[in-house]
Amino acid sequence: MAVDVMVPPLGTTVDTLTLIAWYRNEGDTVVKGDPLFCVETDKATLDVEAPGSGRLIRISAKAGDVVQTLTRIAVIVGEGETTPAADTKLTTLHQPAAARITSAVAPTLAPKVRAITDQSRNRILISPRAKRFAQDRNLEWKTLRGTGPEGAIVERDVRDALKEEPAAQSPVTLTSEVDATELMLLLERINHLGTAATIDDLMLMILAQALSEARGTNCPDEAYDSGLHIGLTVETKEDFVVAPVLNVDTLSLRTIVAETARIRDAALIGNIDTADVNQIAACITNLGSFCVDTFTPTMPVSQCPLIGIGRIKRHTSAQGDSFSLWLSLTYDPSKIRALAAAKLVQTVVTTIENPLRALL
Amino acid sequence: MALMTIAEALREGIREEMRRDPTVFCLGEDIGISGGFGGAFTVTLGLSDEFGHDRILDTPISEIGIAGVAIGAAMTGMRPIADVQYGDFLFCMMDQLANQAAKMTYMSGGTVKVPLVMRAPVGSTRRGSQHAQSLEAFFTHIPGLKVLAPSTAYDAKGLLKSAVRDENPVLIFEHKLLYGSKGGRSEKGALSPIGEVPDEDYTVPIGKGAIRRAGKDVTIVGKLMTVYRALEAAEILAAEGIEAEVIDPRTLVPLDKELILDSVRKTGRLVVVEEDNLTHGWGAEIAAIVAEEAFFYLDAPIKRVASLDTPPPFAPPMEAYYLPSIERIVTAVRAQF
Repeated sequence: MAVDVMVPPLGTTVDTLTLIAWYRNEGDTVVKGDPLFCVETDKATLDVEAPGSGRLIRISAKAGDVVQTLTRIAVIVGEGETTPAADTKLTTLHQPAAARITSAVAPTLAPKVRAITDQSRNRILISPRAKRFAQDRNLEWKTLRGTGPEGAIVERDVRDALKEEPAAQSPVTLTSEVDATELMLLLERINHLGTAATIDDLMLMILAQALSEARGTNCPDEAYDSGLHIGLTVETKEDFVVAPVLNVDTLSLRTIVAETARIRDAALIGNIDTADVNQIAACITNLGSFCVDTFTPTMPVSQCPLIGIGRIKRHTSAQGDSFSLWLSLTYDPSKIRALAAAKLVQTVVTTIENPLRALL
Repeated sequence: MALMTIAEALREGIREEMRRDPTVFCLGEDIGISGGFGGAFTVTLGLSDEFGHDRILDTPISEIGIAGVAIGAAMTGMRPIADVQYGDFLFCMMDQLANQAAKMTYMSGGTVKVPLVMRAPVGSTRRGSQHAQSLEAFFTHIPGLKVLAPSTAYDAKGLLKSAVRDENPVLIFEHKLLYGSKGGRSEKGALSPIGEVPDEDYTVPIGKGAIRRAGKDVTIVGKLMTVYRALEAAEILAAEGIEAEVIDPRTLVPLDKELILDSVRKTGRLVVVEEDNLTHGWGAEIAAIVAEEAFFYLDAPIKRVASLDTPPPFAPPMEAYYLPSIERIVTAVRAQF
């Protein structure tokens, strides 16, 4: 069904807007919710989302045009749908058309637009004193509720917000000496099959499974919203950098191996994309190749548990060789519960010691 | 140390300055006549007995004449203290004050001094539109004039002495309800604060304000009568948990800006209270200074409380409605929280 693309009603004082840009061209396929065009009021610019999915046609206003609110400036038609008959001049529709459109479009368009309107029309009031006070303390004041004159945010609101801020807590590190004999055996056998897997690849797999099992207890559920991503600390020319390995829980080991190899190569030539690093659910840092046995991992993202892997040690005896490593988990106790952190260590250690568990 | 009303303190100040310096003399309407009140509000009562009619000079009822004589005498070596029966009559003298006295030192390259003191009663006391105005703000806008507004007996005497010794024209505004005038000149509804006044010679420096009540939540600036109204409002507010700091600038020109700014930097809120009418007034100037120099310390919009933009009404209920009442001050402060 064809959907009209309307100029949004931006509050009672705004009758006309300036169309700043179209993000799609005539004939393009658009998806409902995509930013479709940008308009400017005398106070702000804002993006308007596509009200439906399909092909964008009949664009009747161009960038720079002043357009009337509640008028149609394009149409989105479904696949194979015929173009609606040209009815009237599109940008100058008046009352009857506006009424029709309100009923047709309001359910999708109106609520979103209203929220933006209220923000752009009603400035957030904050007293100069409160603003200075908040900025001096790096407090984001725009989300505070004002209790002062005219609902303005005043100094006491900022003070109250500061009181509510949890006191910064020192990170906590848990360490465990792990029997890595089975893990090394598995690695050897896999690589006999023609892969070039590393301990890190197996650890990514093991950690992804442990996190899936413990979902929601290690970090806020939102951290998983866009998939289970795990950060991997890799070398650049100058330093370490955390690169995200995306959707680890959906990848085969072969794919993980290929992906980590790609990331390492990219990092060395400084071509690493760290944009998704804030969405990672955990991070692995392996300093074993630097002869480090145990350490406290740190990184700028504190919401997730940080796994540190130390040097693998070989122990030779009459019964044959065995291997061990030190594993550490560092977490922010204001973000992650102590029990959840301990359980995560337990799961990871158990799986390292019996890696067949990772197949379950 | 003696307890005195403001009228008594002014009288003692004049007496001491006249004893100290033979060039000091008083002039005005009915200030020294035998059997009179000692001016309209008893300030000069009895002074002619000690100094005679040559130094307590009764003039015809002509404000232009008083201003001319006083300014001329000041330019030629005398130190006159002119009594303006009601401040409202200063408007009769505007050319001499604004165009002559205030500019003389500038125009003569500093060779001519005008050590003039002019005392003017202000404030609404059920006398209607032409005997009730608070017109200090007019004179704060004239460069070359110093403008004083003492609200206690101590300040009245100390500031008068400083004014007499100053080389420039100084206007002293005195509030009729604060004088403590007695007998036939006592005022209905007068506050008549009585204060301690040292026996020894002292002066209050021109340009230094005073904190009349310390507080941390809001700064209220008043002058003359509104200092007392603000203090009463502060007591009501204290019962609500709001601690107001009440500031009395004492001298309007030059102004103790730092005292006000420091207070606002502490409290984050400012209410200015004056008995003059609101628009384009002294309160606006104080608000502008604070907005310019302490903007980032303000936690609420500045409020002004003043008389309405009408002439002072004659009918008592109307006058009460017109004046900045304690209730209006309290309401203005509450609106800042």
